[in-house]
Amino acid sequence: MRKILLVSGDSFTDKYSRSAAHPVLDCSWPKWPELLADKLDMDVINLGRSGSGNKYIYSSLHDSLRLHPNKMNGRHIPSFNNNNVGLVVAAWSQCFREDWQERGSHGQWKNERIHDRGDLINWVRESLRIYSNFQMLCKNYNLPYIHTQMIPMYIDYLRGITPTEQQMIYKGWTIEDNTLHYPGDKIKDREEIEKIILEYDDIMDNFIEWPITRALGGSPLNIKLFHYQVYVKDKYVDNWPSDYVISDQDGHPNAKGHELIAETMFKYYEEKINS
Amino acid sequence: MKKKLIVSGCSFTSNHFRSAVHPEMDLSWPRWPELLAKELNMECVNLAISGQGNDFILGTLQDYVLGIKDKSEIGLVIAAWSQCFRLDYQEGNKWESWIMDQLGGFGQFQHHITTNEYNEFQMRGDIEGWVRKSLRLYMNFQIMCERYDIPYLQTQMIPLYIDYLRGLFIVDKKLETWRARQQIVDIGKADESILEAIMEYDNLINHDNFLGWPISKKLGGFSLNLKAFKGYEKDDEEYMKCIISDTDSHPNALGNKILAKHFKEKYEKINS
Repeated sequence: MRKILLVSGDSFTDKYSRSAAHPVLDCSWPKWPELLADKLDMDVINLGRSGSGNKYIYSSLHDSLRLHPNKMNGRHIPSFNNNNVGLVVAAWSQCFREDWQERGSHGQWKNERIHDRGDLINWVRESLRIYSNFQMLCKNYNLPYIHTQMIPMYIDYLRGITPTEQQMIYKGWTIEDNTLHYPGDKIKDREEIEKIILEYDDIMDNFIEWPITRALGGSPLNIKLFHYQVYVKDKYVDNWPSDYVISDQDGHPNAKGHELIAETMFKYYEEKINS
Repeated sequence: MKKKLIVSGCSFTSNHFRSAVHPEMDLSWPRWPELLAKELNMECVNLAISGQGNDFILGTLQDYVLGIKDKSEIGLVIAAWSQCFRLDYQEGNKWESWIMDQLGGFGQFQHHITTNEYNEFQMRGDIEGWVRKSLRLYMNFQIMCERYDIPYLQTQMIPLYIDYLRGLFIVDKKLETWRARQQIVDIGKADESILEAIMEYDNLINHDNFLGWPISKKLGGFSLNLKAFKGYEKDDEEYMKCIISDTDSHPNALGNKILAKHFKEKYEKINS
């Protein structure tokens, strides 16, 4: 019997993710969880959901392992036994997203792009607590696990939240006019956030590209894989959009990008988990 | 060196609780965490703050416990859980409570009453979702303590959800009673779904370490404040001896002693 690969994340992980910038684009290429499952010879349960934040990602994994619901967000979840789980992967998202659950059996999850209470530094703290809870959950069941910061956790909020692709294309909003600027001291708060991340340095493990930011020697996975620089003539320049993303208006992975994520995860699994 | 007794909770646990109904009252009696620490010969670390909810309780315990490198310094950790419909969040270095924030603190409470700003009393989600969220927090607490092999206890110090179903009173019973939410069409049905959600955790929660599990009288459990002060058979006179007044149900000096006694008995039971 094949083992189960249990995965959760946001739009970078969602099997049914669609491009907001290119709504007519056929995005039915296999996503990284399915590709990774093939490489691992496992059956995949993909709980990834577009727009979700870290609270959903953790809670969906928690509930699946603890309560075994047969449905989540209207999608069927095949029944499985925890003894048959071969790998759990959390592909973390931005810390400033808000998730909540409403009534019904195992409740419908909803989300907003930005929390309406608190501040960035403490949303970072909240996410790091969630990451350590994920580790403890997997260790509690003695399950192999990997996690990674799939997209930057906080930097987009510090830089200013730009309009969504949809807002730019359909409402004509522009980055210049419609960016939500960071209300605090960016440099000071960034330093504070980096200190907080390092408080978790000896707690985190099995984390691809920890400590999640280039300033500390790690990286968000999409930045590492897709936003690389190339040497042209006598200098390094951004190779953007790279071959791995949908377009310059949509930085989500295309078919090749999903292959690259799956390959990276598989390599990490073989070297660090399965060795 | 004494081991640490680390506790977190809401006003029923806080050292700094003041009575909103009786602001002049001297409340300087020792609280149950201090009394328990003395009984167990431990150093008390009380992280509780009035008005806080379960996110705060787990967050403060998690930060404190993970921050201690040598976990053998910890003698016992106690989570005294609160109501699930409170929303906590952090700003700067302090925690804010959604309820305290929305009411503007007790000082500005009248302002909100008179200007009818009830529509600010909003929160995303619903009672069933908040109950599920709290149950996950209880599991996270248990997993953390078991992961690091730390002695622990948890209890539902005050009812998790029932006050919300009944309609919330705003702080002072002398003021107008306000049913906080109108979302709940069928209270009986909501209660039934919530009880089912609690029972989903029945084989996950470590019963030995959870004082009062499964937290609802209907399921054979209890909230500690109700059990400790009143029980389900005793008369109101007994209950009144343990609380501040008929308009403030927080524990008085005797109430705190009784709470400490319950924790001590449970601790001794799991260590016997």
